[in-house]
Amino acid sequence: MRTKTRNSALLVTCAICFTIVGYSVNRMIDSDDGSTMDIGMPFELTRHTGEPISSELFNGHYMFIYFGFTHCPATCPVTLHNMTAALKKLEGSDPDAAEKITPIFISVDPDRDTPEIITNYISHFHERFEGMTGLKDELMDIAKAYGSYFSYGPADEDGNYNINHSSFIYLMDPKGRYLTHFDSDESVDQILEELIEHTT
Amino acid sequence: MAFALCIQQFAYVSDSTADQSNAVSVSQEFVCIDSPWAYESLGKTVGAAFMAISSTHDATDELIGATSPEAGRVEIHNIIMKAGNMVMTPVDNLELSPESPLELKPHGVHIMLMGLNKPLEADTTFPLTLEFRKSGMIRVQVSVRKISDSPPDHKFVCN
Repeated sequence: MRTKTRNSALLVTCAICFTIVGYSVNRMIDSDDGSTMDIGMPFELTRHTGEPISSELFNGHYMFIYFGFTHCPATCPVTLHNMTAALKKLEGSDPDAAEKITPIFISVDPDRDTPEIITNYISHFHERFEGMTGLKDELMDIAKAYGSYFSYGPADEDGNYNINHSSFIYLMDPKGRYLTHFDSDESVDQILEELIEHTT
Repeated sequence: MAFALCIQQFAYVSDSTADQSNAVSVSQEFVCIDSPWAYESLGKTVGAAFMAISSTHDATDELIGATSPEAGRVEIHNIIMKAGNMVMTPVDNLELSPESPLELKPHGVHIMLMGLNKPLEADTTFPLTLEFRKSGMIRVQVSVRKISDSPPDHKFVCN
C-alpha cells in the first residue's frame, strides 16, 4: 500500500470558496505503531433516484467513492472525469474487473443537491455512477469515518455559500473495507495503475 | 522574438473568440495567455476559469485582479500553507516571471466567478478581463467546456 503523505492531502473548496484546509487521511490510516486503522463505515443514504440505498447493496463490488457537490466548479468535475476515464481505460483492458467497480458520488450538499440534480450531474460522467446524499449529520459521520472533512460557509446576499471539503477518492474492497485512496489531483494513469493493482 | 511570440499568441486567442469585436486587447506586450477555459456550470451561477499565463524573457509582472461582465464577483484564489495545512484563499495578486509562469487549473490557482448572470453553457465563450500591474488590462474570451471533458493541455507560450 502506498504511503499517503500529509502534505499531499488537500482540502479544496468549490462554489463560492474561500479556504482549503489540509487534512490527512494518513493520520487515520496509520497509527503510531504502524498498524492500519479502519477507514469507512456502512451507510444508508438517499440514492439519486430518490430511494433509500444502503452500502450493503455494493457487497461484492469495489466501491470507488468521492465526496463532493454539484456547485463545485473546479475540483469535483475534473475528479469525476478522472474517475470515469480511469474506469473506461480499465474496461478496455479488463472489462470483467472494471464491471466489479462501482463509482459513487456522495454529495455533501443536500440542501441544494436534490436527487434530480444529482441524477443530471452524474449523467455527464460514467454511466454506472451511483449518486447519493443524506442528512447533514449523517454525511458528516460518514465523511469523518472516511477521513474526509467538509464544512459549510456562510451564505452571501444571493444565498450562495461555500463548502470547504477534502478531495480524496476512496477504493473499498468487495466487503466494504478500505483498500486505498487517491488524491484528486492524481492523473488518470496513476489512478488506473492502482485500480489494476487492487482489483485484478 | 519574444515580442513576436506574444503578438502571435494574442492573435491566436483572438481567433478563438466568438466575437471578434471583443478580441483580446493588450496594453502591454510582455504577457502571454494560453487556452482560457471553464467548465459548464449545469444551471449554477458559480464557475471557475483556468489558463496558463507566462511572460517574456525579461519581464516580471503581477496578476492583480479580474473582472467579467458575466459575473457579479470575480476573485483570484491561491493555495498557501497555513498552520501546516494547505489553504485556498482569495489573494490580491499573483507574481509572474519568466521563471515562474502561472498555471491556473482545477486543483490549484484559479479565477472564481460568482454571481454569474446566467449559467455557463458548453461550447460558448465569455469575456474575462485580467488586470496586471505592469501590463494593464488584458481581455480574453474563456471557452466553456463540457463538464465531462478533460482539461486542455496548457502551453506557456512566452517561454
